[in-house]
Parts: sequence; C-alpha cells; structure tokens
Amino acid sequence: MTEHDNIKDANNSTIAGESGADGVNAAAPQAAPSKVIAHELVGAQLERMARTQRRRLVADLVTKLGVKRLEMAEDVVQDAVIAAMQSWPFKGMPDSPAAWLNRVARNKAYDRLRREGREQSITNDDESEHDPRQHDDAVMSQVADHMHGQFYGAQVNDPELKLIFLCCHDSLVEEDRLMLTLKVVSGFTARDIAAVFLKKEAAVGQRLARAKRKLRALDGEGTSHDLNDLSRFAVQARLNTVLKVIYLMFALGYAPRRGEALIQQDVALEALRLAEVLAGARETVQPAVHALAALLNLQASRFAARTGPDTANNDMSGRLVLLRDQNRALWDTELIKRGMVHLAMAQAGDALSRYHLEAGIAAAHATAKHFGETDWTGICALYVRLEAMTNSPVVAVNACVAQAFAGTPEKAFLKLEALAGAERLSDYAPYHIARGELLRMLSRPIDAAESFQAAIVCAASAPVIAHLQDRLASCV
Amino acid sequence: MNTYALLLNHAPDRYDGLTEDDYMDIIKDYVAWVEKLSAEGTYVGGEKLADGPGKTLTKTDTGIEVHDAPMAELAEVLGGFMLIKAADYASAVAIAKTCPHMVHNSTLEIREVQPTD
Repeated sequence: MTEHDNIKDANNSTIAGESGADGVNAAAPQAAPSKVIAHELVGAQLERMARTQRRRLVADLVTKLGVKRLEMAEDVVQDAVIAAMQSWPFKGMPDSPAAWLNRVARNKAYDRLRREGREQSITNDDESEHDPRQHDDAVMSQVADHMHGQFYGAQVNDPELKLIFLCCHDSLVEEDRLMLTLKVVSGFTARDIAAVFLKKEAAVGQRLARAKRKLRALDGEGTSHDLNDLSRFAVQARLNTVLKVIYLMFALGYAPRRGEALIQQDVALEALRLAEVLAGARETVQPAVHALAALLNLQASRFAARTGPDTANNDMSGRLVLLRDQNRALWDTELIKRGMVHLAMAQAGDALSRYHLEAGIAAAHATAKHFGETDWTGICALYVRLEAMTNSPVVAVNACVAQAFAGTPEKAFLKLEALAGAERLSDYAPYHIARGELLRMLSRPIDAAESFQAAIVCAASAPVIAHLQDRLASCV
Repeated sequence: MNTYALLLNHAPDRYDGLTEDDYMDIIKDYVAWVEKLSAEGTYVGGEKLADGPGKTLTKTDTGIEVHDAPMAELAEVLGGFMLIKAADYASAVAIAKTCPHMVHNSTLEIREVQPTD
C-alpha cells in the first residue's frame, strides 16, 4: 500500500514541480551529453524527412518502376512517411531515417505490384485452381528486374534530374511542366505553386491533375519517354524548361510568400544542388547552365544574412534583413567564389540567357564591400537588357528600385507608376514594397505607409510582415 | 531498477482529421522525448496499437463469443504503450509526467512489470 500512497502523493504535490525533475535525475543514469538529441534537432530531422527525402524517394522509385507508376510511387512514399510518423514516437528514430523510409516505401511498392499482378490474374484467368504462389514468384521476379536491373542508354543519372526531365515532357505546355515538376519532384503543394505563379490555388490543382493524366496517357502510346531512354536529343530539347524549373524552385525556397519560414533553405539548396549536377554532367553542361549555377550560388551566399534573430522563438527566422542592412561578413564566401567561377565559365560562347544577366546583377552585389559601394549604374545597365529580354513586370519593378538607388528616384517612381496597370502586380507584395520604399526616398511618408499596408495585405510570410510593420512604423 | 509500462490512452477521435503538419507537430514531441530517454538509457521500447476496433472474446455457456471491441462508446482507447526503466513508482511517475502524452492527451496509466527475480 505504501507504494500506492507514494504515487498519490507525487500526483498531488506537484504538477510539473521540482520533485518531478528530481525523480527523472534519480531514475536516469548519467547520459553522455553528445547522445542527448535536442528537441530542435529531432524536429529538423523529421521535417527534412517529410520534405527532402520524400521527393528523393519518389524520384528514385519512379526511375525504377517506370513513368506509369508515378502515382503509385507518390502513394507508397506518402504511406511510408505516415508509417514513420506512427512508429517513431514509440520506437525512436532509426539509425538512418532515409534508409528506413526507403525500405518501407519499397516494401509497400512490392506489395502493390504483387496485388496488381493478382488482380490482373483474377480478371484474365478464369481457372479457379491456379497456384497463387507460382504467380507471385513471376511477379516478384518482374519486380526484382525493376528494382535491381541494369539500365543502359541513360544519359542523365541523377534520379531526380530524370524525374524533372520527365515532367518537362514536350507534350505539356511550359507552365504545366513547371507546375508538375514543382509538385512531383519537389513536393510543393498546389498552394505554394499558386503563390509563385500568382494564380488561384484551385486552378493550379486542376492543372496538376490534368497534366498527370496526360503524362499517364502517353505511357500507352509507344512514344519513348521512359526515363531510362532519355535521348541526348530529348535532354537538349528540354534543358531550357528544366533550367527554368530549377530557377523557380530556388525562388520558392528563397522567398516564400506565405507561411512562417522566410527561407525554406532545403528547397533552395536542393535547386542549387540540381543546378550543380546539371553543370557537372557532360550531357547537360552549357553556358546557360553555368550562368544559372552562378546565380543560385551568389543568391544562396546571403542566406545567413537575410534574416535577423527572432527573440520569441530564439532562432534566426524572425525578420527580413534588407540587402543594405545585411552584415556582409555573414555572406558565404565559399558560395560567392563558386558563383564567380560558374559565371566565368558561363562566358564561353555567344549565348546570353536571362541567367547571365541576373547572375551579373547578383555578382555586382556580392562583390560590393559595402552597400554604398554597389555599382548601381552597372546593375541598371544589366536590368535594361533583362527587361528587354523578359518583358516581365516583375523584372521592371526591380529595375525601378535599382534606378532609384542609382540616383534618380523621381524617374524611377514615374516608371513604377506607369507599371501600375500591369496585370497581376496589384497582388504582388514586392511591387507595393518597392513603391513604398521609393515614396519614402521621395519624402512622401503618408503615401509610403499606404503602399506598405497594401503589401501586408498581399500573401507574405510572417518575417516579411514583421519587416513591413517596422517600415510602416518608420513612416509615421 | 524496475520496468514500468506506460499505457497511453487517447480519445477515440483524437487524431481524426488532423493535417499532416499538425500531426507532425505532435509527433516531434514524442520522438524527441523517446530519443532523450533512450540516450539516458531509460527507454526500453514501445509499440503503437493499430487504429480501429479490436476483438473481445467472451466465454459463455455455449462457447466463446467474439465481438468487435466497442471502441466508439469508450471515452478513451489504448493507443499504445511504452516500457521505461525506473527505480520505483515515484520515479516512474516523475518520468511519465514529462511525457508529451500529458501535453497532447489527458490520461496515462503506469503499471509496474512484474520483476522476474
């Protein structure tokens, strides 16, 4: 009975009190500090599992199972992630979470293929006395061929790159290719994609479904689009779309317009990795690829400096830090160096892509020791060419900001006002932010405040909103 | 050092309709806690019980009747169990109080595993 009384006492005396903590210490042998896994680390690992590893696994499975099993691959990986979420709270993290997920996803794929085979045999085979085991063996050996077979003729070896090339199929219009890649390869939601395309979420969902159906339907037509038969020609034909997809993937990871995290660093770094793989592969390397790799390296070099501390969460995700206020000592010199090497290699040949121009702009920022030393005239010249090449209102907004810093804010503002009618800009937070900054330069704080308020209304991530509220306060 | 079973109960609909993100937020706490106890050498193991009703066997005069366990009528169901090492019930209680189960749910039952020696 005394034991039971003790429990009662413990329950009554403390809710989360001192004796509870003492009890833990008394019960637990001293642990090596290195083995104690911090709560944040576990959280980060789980999130990486849900994002990075999910899409890597999908890519890997599709490469092995074939295009027509794209949805099966997505499903079994999703099932594996759920299995992990159910098992790990009781078992703890496996030694290698990636290997665990891979094994579970593959086993689930085996099961599905086996069931597929069985269903086929039920519909095709009227003989009730057939030996299911014999059939299983046949299916299993087919699976084994899929899983372990040697593939030849592959031009692109990274499974994710293969999957991107698949999503960039010629029969899809360019925008569908981009959306499908972001969804299937990168695991972005329809909402994320809608934000980057300045479109409605429901419309994006429908387009994704249609694109997937189209891709699946192609599978029956004998057109060679098997991932492992990607010809050198197809690779070249699709390379521009692939570059654009990687560029967008980076943009999504670099400046998400909703949600709490300012930088979904994994996503952006994944785009950077893919660009490096393209630049390093004999089949895909071209000046534009080097230019893109240069641009992404140079942009990524500013990751650590782009956000300030968040005192509430005690992390560095709190607040957007503008280029002019960034501590340039935090810029990653290794990435800048790599970017500059790529930029040099991008100069080979005559081809000039938008990535060349944007990398040039990024390089001008990366090589300025202080904000005051920025070569705005050079940057403006690059923007003029970029505007002519892209005819994009978003580029034009950025060009106006550069022009204002180059010393002619009045002209820049007039140009920005001329853009006001451009389609889609009214929902685009950076347009309102740029307008607010220009109006501040022109000493029109009340109008500036109005623009910052309009920017807050647009979908923006929490750190951006925090930054805008500061700017708003500075206008009073 | 004895072994204690933590029986984790939850409302039958506790995890229904959660988004993956919401679920992940809960999972994170549990995994981190299990990892911490494992690192300290306190955690022995655990199992999640499958969702959905189980079976109940009842001996009657005519034989053994099998029923689906009446899950929906219960206020709480057993979701899983964990085994931990502790010096005594008081220590086991102290450890169990730090379990995220008491943040995300409201009932946890502790039973000592019968020592073999």
